[in-house]
Amino acid sequence: MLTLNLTTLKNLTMETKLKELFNKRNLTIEDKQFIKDLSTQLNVKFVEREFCSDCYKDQIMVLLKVLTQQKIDNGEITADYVLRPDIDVIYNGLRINNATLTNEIAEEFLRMGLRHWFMKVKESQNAVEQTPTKSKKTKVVAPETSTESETENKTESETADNSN
Amino acid sequence: MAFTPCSSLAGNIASDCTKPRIKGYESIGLIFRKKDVQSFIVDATNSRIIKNLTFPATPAKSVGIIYNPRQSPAHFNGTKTEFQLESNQFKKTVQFYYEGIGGTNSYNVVEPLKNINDYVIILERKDKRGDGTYQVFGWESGLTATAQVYDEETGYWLITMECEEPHSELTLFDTNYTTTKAKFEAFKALSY
Repeated sequence: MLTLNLTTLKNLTMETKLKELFNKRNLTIEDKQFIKDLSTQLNVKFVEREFCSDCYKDQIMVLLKVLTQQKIDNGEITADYVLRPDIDVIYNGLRINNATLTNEIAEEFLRMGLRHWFMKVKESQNAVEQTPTKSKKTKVVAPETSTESETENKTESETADNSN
Repeated sequence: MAFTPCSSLAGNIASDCTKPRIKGYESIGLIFRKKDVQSFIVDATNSRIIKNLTFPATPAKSVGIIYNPRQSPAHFNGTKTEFQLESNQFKKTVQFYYEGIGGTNSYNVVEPLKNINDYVIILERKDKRGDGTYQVFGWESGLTATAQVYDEETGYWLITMECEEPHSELTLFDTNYTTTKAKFEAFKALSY
């Protein structure tokens, strides 16, 4: 229990520090080293490309994403919906990010087809999101055999294309 | 709260040697009226980035396609942005041709372009780097036709749409190029 709390505290500190660095205009050598070290610690690949002005900021987002995912997996986040850490937007004049997200807005975003903005959605919503369009619905309902024949047809047509 | 000026230089003015700039636009652009946009989402830290647009279910057709497939003139040739010192704004010009003739086309396309001033045009650059690939014109103050020239020799209307906006460039960008492309394609499906 104590270990879990310590890990949580450590993650929280790391998160705060990362967010701070994200808003910092010029990163120092120490800041950059911190990002590199944390990447190694969390086993996240980091390639510092030449002429890449935003590599470190991009990496901060990746790290924040990993930390958020850890929190979701550990059950530390109890919210129904969790946005990706890089999502910080203005919608209808309201600033929406994980701190301000409500279930109502989350559901509106999902209706707009923004499922990719979420790291966690409510179970029931997840099921709905898997079949958002009519065509997809029919595909799910269709028996397995038809799917197989579809694949076969596809392979046949592909072969035909290749022969041309 | 401490005072902070609008902006100051925060990047090098240098070419990216690994990703050289690819000039030009693709042949298909989108035009719609801002009033027809049902809702929009912009980035909270940079309002120049439009993350999402939604159009109402009815009318089903609220977006026009501008298709300029000819190689001469080049796609959307003459499209440019110029800073205007006096107004402290960026003057944006989008130029395209239209081969429609006759009364119907005159009523449906040519005249509305100069009668209304809330048009938004999205053009796709050949450069597919994500942020910047889908350039948005007229989102802030709206485009209107400032020149429409028909010449029987060329066989088309050369239409110039212009506006003046405070921000130098606005883009449609969500997550990456692929996601944004899917959005652009979905908007195309709403065309007349």
